[in-house]
Parts: sequence; structure tokens; C-alpha cells
Amino acid sequence: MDIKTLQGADVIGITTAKNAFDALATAFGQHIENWQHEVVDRLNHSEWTGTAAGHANTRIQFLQNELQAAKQELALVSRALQDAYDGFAAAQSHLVNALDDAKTHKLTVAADGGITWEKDPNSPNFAGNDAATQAQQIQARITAALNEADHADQTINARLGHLATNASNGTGLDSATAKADQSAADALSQIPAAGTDPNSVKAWWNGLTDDQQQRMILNHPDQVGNLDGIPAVDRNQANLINLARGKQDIQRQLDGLGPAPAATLGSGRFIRPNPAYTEWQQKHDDLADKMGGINAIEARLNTKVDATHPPTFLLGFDTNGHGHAIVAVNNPDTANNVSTYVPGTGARLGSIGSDINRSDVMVASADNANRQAGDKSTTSSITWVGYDAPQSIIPEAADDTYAKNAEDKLVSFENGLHATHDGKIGNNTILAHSYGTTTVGYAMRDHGLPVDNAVLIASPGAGVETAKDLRIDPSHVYAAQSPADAIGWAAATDPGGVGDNIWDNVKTDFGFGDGDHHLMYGRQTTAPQFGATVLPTNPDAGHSDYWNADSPTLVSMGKIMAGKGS
Amino acid sequence: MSAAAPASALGRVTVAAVLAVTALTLGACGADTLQDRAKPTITLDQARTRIDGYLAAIQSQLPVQAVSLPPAFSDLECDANDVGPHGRKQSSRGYDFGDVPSDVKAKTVTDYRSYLSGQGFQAVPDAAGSHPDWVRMKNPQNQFLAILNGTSDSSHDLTLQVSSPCIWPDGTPPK
Repeated sequence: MDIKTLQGADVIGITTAKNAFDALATAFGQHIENWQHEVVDRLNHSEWTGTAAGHANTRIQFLQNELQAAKQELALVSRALQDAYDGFAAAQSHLVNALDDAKTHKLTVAADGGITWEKDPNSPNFAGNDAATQAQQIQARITAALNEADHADQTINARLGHLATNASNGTGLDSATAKADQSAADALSQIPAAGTDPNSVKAWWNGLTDDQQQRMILNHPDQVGNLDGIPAVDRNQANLINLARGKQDIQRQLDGLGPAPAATLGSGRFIRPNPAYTEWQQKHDDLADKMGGINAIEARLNTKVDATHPPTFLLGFDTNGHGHAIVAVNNPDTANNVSTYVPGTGARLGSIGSDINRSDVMVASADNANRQAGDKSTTSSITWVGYDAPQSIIPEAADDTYAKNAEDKLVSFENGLHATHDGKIGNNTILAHSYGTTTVGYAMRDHGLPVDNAVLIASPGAGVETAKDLRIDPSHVYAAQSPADAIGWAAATDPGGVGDNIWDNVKTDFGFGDGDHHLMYGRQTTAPQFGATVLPTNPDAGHSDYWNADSPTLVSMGKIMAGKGS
Repeated sequence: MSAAAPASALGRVTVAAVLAVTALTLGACGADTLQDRAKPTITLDQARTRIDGYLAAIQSQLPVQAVSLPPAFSDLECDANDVGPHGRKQSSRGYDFGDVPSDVKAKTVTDYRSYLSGQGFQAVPDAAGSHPDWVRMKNPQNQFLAILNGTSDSSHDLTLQVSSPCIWPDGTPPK
């Protein structure tokens, strides 16, 4: 659609057409009622019986069903026309507002959307020093409005086309068809439940006009923001609302706590801790922790975009439990390559800042790998704190329930990335740290993940014995663990693992040990027998140091994410 | 063996015991480190000023020019998944020199090494078996690190980055 067409479109005419159509549909409904009273009811009371009467009643009932189906189909046409009006009116309004703003800023918009302006400061028509920026923003709004109209045109055309076909070939008289069409129309106004196949979610979202999508986002941000299959830009918009509401709610709860009670009760030798203070402090610390995470997200979202700070997208947010957040550095729907980073023990809303930092440096590392190869591909890294991670080494990290409970969520999220990506994802990586590798390993083992690479950093075990058990090409499974990382002390406790470790120790004592070793959740991922490609590490790197500036592991992560080997 | 974690109560106790050893090990191994971490440092602003100083000084010695303005500083939280204390940051910033001809690149590497060696920086050896495309130089006095990356003939991009050690943003550890 072009500017002239949308600007001059008679959208009121759609309403006029709808009203005329409604009048016809109402008349049709009246005819059905009349037919019911004048024909069907009279026949029913005529006491006409016998074989001929039976045939007639059957035929009349059949006709009755057809008329009711037709009435339903006509109502759906009316609904489609209303949606058409809403969609086109919104798009036209957005276009007109953009054109008005262009005039205000003394910018001239050509029919093809090109924008020019007077650059001479001495001219009365001088557009100002920020004209280029204004022009860029207004041009983007014009393009968005035209796309919005195109999208409305496509979705409404598909719906009306379907109903017109039904009318012309008679399938619209079939009550089952009418029921299915009614259900499809109703489904448009109902958000799919959490856990719905992301491809179905994407198809549903595409069936809405932009105006309907906007209403969904504004009216149901909590559902839309966390639904896999919704495009990143739309999830982000919904989650910005969720973030603002979450912040308000946490602040309200903090204010509601009031001042801290006295830390102790009694005096002298009878002094003792005040339980009320302990309770207050726990609540306060939890809320303050969440607020810290919210502030970190806001700070990163508002960071000026530059080479090492790409735009960010909030793909998930809530304050339930310890809080969750999913933050993408670069748009995962449009980036050539995508990586999902799953942190481990301690991951929560309050810790999201440091994990977003890691995504930033991983994207920078991937960009570096691409530039060095003369490749202009882009990479998105998503920090995925979409699960309840253990919050303590003892006792929570000793429990694999956290990993098990995350499996379905992670599988859905990865499927959603494919559903919403523009075309095929060039290179999709899952990258995890510590307990996050157990979470990822369990999901890959039990369900398979649609990824090209798996990178396991400082793993206490991925729930499998070998790389091939992760159900992707084992040559694309990578592992890193520094000799100084204490995760190596998280030795196996299950009888099989303990036995294997004892046997390996015996072999080592006799000089023929082969480095096989089992940790808490399976074979050490850097053991040769596991079969992963082992990434370089700084020999003195601690459990958190794999993302440091001088880390060769970070270089390898970037190469893998960029599809450039390791 | 089975790779699944033990599900029984006894199993979990055993697992917890092993993890207790892990946690204690982390703490014990890091006893000196923890002391080091808890010492006052320069502030984040001071670290950034020093980074820019190093960058400008190194750049002035090289036969290449940056192809774009340096981006904002990138900060990374240190010890995020460690026993703490938490809150230290490592700050970094750098230049991108673009695709540099091989002969100029070779001279850049030589000049870079020569200049920083003269300033007391020392080459950081790479792990055995790894062949990263960089030259790392670290100042043993203040732990600032310079990395010239993309130094091989095959690389189409040469970059310089300077990073601070882990520092407390306001110079003092939390009480």
C-alpha cells in the first residue's frame, strides 16, 4: 500500500458497508424467524402424519440447519468488516499523525515516502539541526503505518475470502463449517494458553490485525509478554508494561513494610533476636533484590546503542518466586545467529544484571569472530532466566528437580525462537553455565532441543554419559572447565559414578588413568570419554571467570555462536 | 552408570554433603583471594580514566587509526557466581581498526609489544593447545590488560581493547 492510497482511503465507507450488510443480515434473520413461525410451527401443529409428513419434516429440519448456518456465516462477515474498519482506521490514523508531525517539523514527504527538508539556516523553512533524525523517525512511522495497513488488508482479505467461498460453493450452509468458522473467529479474541505450540501461537498472532495485536498487548501484557511464538518486538512491548507494573508493585510492597522493627528484644543478658525483625529483613531483602534486578533491566534497556551495546528486548518478566526475566541482546527474530544463555545456581531476577553483561560480551565476541572472518552476520544472545534455578549450593543445587521442572519451558522457548524468526535461523546455540548445563542437558536428553550447538561451561554434569546423548551432532557439543574451578569437586554420589571414579583413581595410581571422571549429574563434560570438544580456559579461572576480558573461553564462545567453529 | 541424580532422601543427603565439600573448597581455596577481593581498589571512574589513557597512549604508537569512535565502556560483574563478596566490576573499552593490510598489521603488533613492554607490561602466555588470534599484555603493577585481537594474516579485523582488573565501583568494598 502507498501513502496516497492509505491517506485517501474511505474507511468510513467500510462502516457504511458494514451497516448496510448488517441491515441485510438482520432482514435475513427476520425471514428465518418468519419462516419458523409461518411454516415450521404451523406444520408442527397441523397434525399431519404419515410417511410423507416424515420426509417433509426431515427436509424442513435440514433446511432449518442450513438457514441457521448461513445466519452464523453472515454474522462473521459483519465481524470481519468491523475488524477491517478498526484495522484500517488505526493504520490511517498513524499515517496521518506521522504526516502532520512531518509538517510541524517542516519536512516534505513525497508520494513515495522520501523526505526532504530545507537545510539553509537562513531560510524561513529551515527544518532545524535535528531534521535528519526527525526525518528518520517519521519515515519509520510512515513505513510502519503502511505495513500495518497491508497486514490488515491481508488478514481481513483472507477471512472475507474464506467466507465468500463458503457462500458461493454452499459450504457455508453446513452447520459444522459454520461452527468451525465461529470457533476460529472466537479464537482470535482468546489468547492461547501458556504451553501452546509456539507455531500455533504465531499463526494466531498473524491472524490478528496490528490494531488487534496492540489491543492484546495493552489489555493482556502479562499473557502476551511471556508467550512463546509471539514475535520479540511485541513481547518486548508487553513486557515493558509488565516491568513498569512490577516495579510499582515491588515499590508498594517495600513502602508497605514500614520501618524495621528493633533487631533484638530484651536487654543485658536477656537480649535475644527479634523474630519480627528477622521476618521484616527477609521480606525486605527479597523485595530489594527484585528491585535491583528491575533497575538493572531498565538501565540496560535505556543504554545508548553502540557497537558493544546493541539494542535489548525484554522477552519475559515476572516477579513470582525469586522472579524471572528473559532479555535478548539484539533482536532474535532478525539476527542471523541466535544463542540462548542459561545461567545456573543463583540465577533469578535480582541477578539478571550480571547475566545480561555476559550476553553483551558474548555478542561482542561473536561480532568480533564475524568481522575477523569478513562476515557481516549479526548475533543475538538471550539471557534466559525463565526457570526457577536453585538459589544455594546447599541444599538446592543438590536437587535436580529444578532442572526437570525447566525442561518443558526451555523446549517451548527454543521452538518459539524458530517460530518467530524471519526465515531460518542461521546458527542456533544453547550455552549454559554451571547448574544451567544440567538444566540444558536434561531438556536435550529428554526432549531434544532444536539447536545446532551446545556449549557447557563449568558443568557439574549434563545428565548424560556422552555428548551424543544430547541428541545433536556430538561434534557440535563443546565443554569448558578450568582446573582451578571448584565445580570439579562436585563429585558423583550415585553408586555407578562413585565406582567409576574409584576405578579411575586406581588406574591413575598405577599410571594408566585416562581422565574419566563423574560429577554430580553425570560424566564430566570435559573428560575425553564424554566426547565434547574441549574449549581453552585460563588455567587459574574460577567458577565465574569464563567471561572475563582475557578469557580464551569467551573467544571460543563467540566463534561458536557465529558459526565459525571453536 | 546412571547419569540421573539420586532421588532418595539418603541420596540427597549424600549429594548435599559432597556439595558442602565443594562449597568449603571454594571458600578455602579462595581464602587468600577473598582477602584480596575485600581490599579497597581504585574507583570505576578512575579505572575508566586509566583505560582511556592507555588506549590513547597505545593508539599514538601504532601505524593504524580507529575506523569509528570507541563505544561506551562495558562492565562485567566479577565473581558473580562465586562466594563473594559481590559487587566488583571489570570495565573495558576498545578501538576497531578495521581490515588492515598484513604488513601494517605486522608492524602494529611489533609496535604494540614494544611500546607496552617499555611501559612495564608483560606478555600473557596462552593456554597450551589454544591458538587465539590475539596478543595479550598485562601490567603486573596494576593488573590492567591490553588485548590486540585479530593479528593473524587471515583476520579481516584488528581491534584493541584495554580492561581494568576487578575493582569496587566506589573504591571500597561493602561493609
